[in-house]
Amino acid sequence: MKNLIFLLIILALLSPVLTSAKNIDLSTLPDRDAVQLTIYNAEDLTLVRETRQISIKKGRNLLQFSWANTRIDPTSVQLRFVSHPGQMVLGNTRYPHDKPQMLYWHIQSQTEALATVEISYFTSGISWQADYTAILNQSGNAMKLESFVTVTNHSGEDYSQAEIRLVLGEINLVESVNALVREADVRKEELSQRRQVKKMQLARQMLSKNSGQYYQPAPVLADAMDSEKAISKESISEYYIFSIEGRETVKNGWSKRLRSSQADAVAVDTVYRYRPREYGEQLVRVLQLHNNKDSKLGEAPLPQGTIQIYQDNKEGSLSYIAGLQFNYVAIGEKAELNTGVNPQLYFQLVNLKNWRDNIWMYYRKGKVFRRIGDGHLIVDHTATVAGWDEHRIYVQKLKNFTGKPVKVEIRRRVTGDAVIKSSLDIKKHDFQTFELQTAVAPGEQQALLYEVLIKKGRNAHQNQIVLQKKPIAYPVW
Amino acid sequence: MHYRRLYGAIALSLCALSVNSYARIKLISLPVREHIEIQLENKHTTIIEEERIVPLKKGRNSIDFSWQNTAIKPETIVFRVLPDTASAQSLKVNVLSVSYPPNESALTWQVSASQSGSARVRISYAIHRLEKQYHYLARVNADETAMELFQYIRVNNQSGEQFLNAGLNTGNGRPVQLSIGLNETQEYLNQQFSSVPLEKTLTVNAAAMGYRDRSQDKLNVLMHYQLHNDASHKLGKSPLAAGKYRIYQQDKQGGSVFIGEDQGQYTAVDDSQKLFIGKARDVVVRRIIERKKRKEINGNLYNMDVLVKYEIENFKNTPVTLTIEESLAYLKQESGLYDSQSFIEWQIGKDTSFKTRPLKEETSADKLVYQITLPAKRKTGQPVKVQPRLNILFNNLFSSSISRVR
Repeated sequence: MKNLIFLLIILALLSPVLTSAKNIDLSTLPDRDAVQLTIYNAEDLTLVRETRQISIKKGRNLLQFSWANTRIDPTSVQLRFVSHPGQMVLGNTRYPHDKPQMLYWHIQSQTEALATVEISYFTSGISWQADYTAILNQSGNAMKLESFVTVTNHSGEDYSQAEIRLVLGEINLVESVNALVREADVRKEELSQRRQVKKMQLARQMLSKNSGQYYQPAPVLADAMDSEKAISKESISEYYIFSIEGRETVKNGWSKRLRSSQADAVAVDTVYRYRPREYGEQLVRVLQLHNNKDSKLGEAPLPQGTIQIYQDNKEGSLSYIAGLQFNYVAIGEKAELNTGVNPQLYFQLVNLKNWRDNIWMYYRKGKVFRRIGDGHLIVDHTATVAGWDEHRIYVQKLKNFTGKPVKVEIRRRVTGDAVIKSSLDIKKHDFQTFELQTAVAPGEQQALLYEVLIKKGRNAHQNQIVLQKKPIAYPVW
Repeated sequence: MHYRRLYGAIALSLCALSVNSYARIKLISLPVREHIEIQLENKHTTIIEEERIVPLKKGRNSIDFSWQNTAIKPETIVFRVLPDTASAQSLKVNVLSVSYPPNESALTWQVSASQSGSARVRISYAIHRLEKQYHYLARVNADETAMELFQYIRVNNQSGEQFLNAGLNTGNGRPVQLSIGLNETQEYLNQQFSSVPLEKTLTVNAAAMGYRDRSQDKLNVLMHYQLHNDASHKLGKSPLAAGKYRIYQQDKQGGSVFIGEDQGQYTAVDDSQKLFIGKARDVVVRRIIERKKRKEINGNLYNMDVLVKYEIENFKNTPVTLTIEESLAYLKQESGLYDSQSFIEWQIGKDTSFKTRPLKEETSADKLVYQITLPAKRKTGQPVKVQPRLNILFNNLFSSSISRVR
């Protein structure tokens, strides 16, 4: 499909006014010499830069550019003279009223020459995603991690032999390209739309680094042993650019997947977590890995995507562990993968015993408070409980049937004015969340005891937890 | 009937293709499956692994893989070139890219070979609707002290593809080679255990198991078999997967009688589980609330003294052990204490007549568990009536409309 048409109309004898009215044209169709796609993953946005060679005569020239049935933002189309700078000047750009996906460039040239021009524009419909395949070794302490990028083209246009650059980061757009495409027919709004995409132009300027380097590489012999294409990574501002070596063809409707990186032995740490707010009421197995050099990674951030996790069981076979969403991981940052419940590690939270004390009564008649047990109780049937403390003893029961030592992290949230009592090494995560960690040997059973005291009614003065080191005995009934 | 569908076809394009030229006229070879494995370990996802020998020419090659009318998850496809002893030293293969055509269940790998030759490749992928189920058959001896246990695996293939001579890996049990056709279900014996010791228990719980005859205050008495998955109980070789247990018992004529079934839970090695078999009728347990007494403390604060009486009779010729579970939340509600707060404070009162303490491991803030042994019925045929009482004191109760005065 060739929807993008670039027409060079040589109008040596006719005035521009007559040109727009004539019905018989003589045109030449210069091919693309090179094309570069800069694809953003956070937005439906791709910057296309293409170079073509056109014959320019001395004097006035008119170029027609049209993009029927594509998803190009008409306000973003720009023309630049790569060769003959200063000798050729772009005058006005005209958008004909009866042909929405078309424009005319008026060019004034001081010389007659074969000029190289660069046309750039934004299009939607081209996207890229990252995905990962991870294969854990049999002991589960390391994984082979392959990362891939997949480019998908639904722009309406084929891009052959394109240099592809993938931008990882979140840019700000005032309007989506899709919206601009839909509104392309509304001539009145075009000027304002151009102003609104100034930020896009700034982004394009930022990405102009190495912009002149995308020329056709030397042809590769068909029967030579090809290596995988390298994907170079470089940072720019708050973003990363992944550049695919050489050129790729991505036809409309097709996707193409390339390996971005591979690390054969990424160290993996396994921890089991109970965090009801994050993972629900269950103990989940979390794999942790670091995007750093120690893990044979750390060259670039790991983009957001999906990850399929397998484990090498025996004789090279794979066991499926989980398919997950993988969040962006910066260089040096830790990645966490929740692979779900391991049925071989039993976990149970049991409320063992409850009681109330420190009960205060309020007497309406005298407007006084008395505490039960202090010996100054006034017998009054209208008195009401105004404050009390609630004690709950909990046990977190763990049984490790995995055959391996495991690390367990437990995090619980308690609202109100609370005291957490235990002889365990409990730490405060935030003002109303405490956490404790333990290691459970193979075959071992553990009962982690702690007491939660919550002050109620007039006894409550704060909304935070306080930790108190105190041995808690298992209740005897 | 020819059921073979155009699925999983792996095609090697032999024409000199450039990376992007998908010619309409192609000469292709169809490498057959050399080996196939079905990985059924994961509870939710089945993995197929197939090996094929793919002829490659020196330079670039296109390998097409398509899966018409099947339920492959394309995002899970893994392509690996295996080291082949014959040509591993000389043939090197690089995977250059993967292309996905529009509106097709297919992909094309672009690979580059260092020389012409054959490569052994392994393609792994997850597939929907190829599932396994475990189920068990137990034959219990006459005195219910031991059983023979058979573990079966049933594989149901609705995936849209047939698998011939596939190796099945379920994570435990013996390796199996199986051919399974389209829409076919196959079952095989995976593991078998003999003389597995059994423990039979009887349990009552008014809240969870209810009454057998409410008008006579008779509780349901539930019969369970306790199954220990460890070496001392002649199990413990691998975890017991969740599945239905069907239980038969030998009769005196040497035949067998179906006595019940239950959905068993996953049981790790060294762990145990209880299987609910049915209800016992020869042990009668009556339960009534004999006393309910409010004790005022002051104002709206009070305690409640509740006495539960059990009358238990064993009409069997043998002694039995009965587990009595009492839900404190249920008892509180039965006693008319509708506290909007979930908090339950209680203690065992002095009028409790159980001779043993509650079971430590089973008892919690909401559940009190006792175990008692009931003697066999007398020679006269009359049962011994046992009448334990449970005295519970619900303490520090007050209405929820408390004063907010500070």
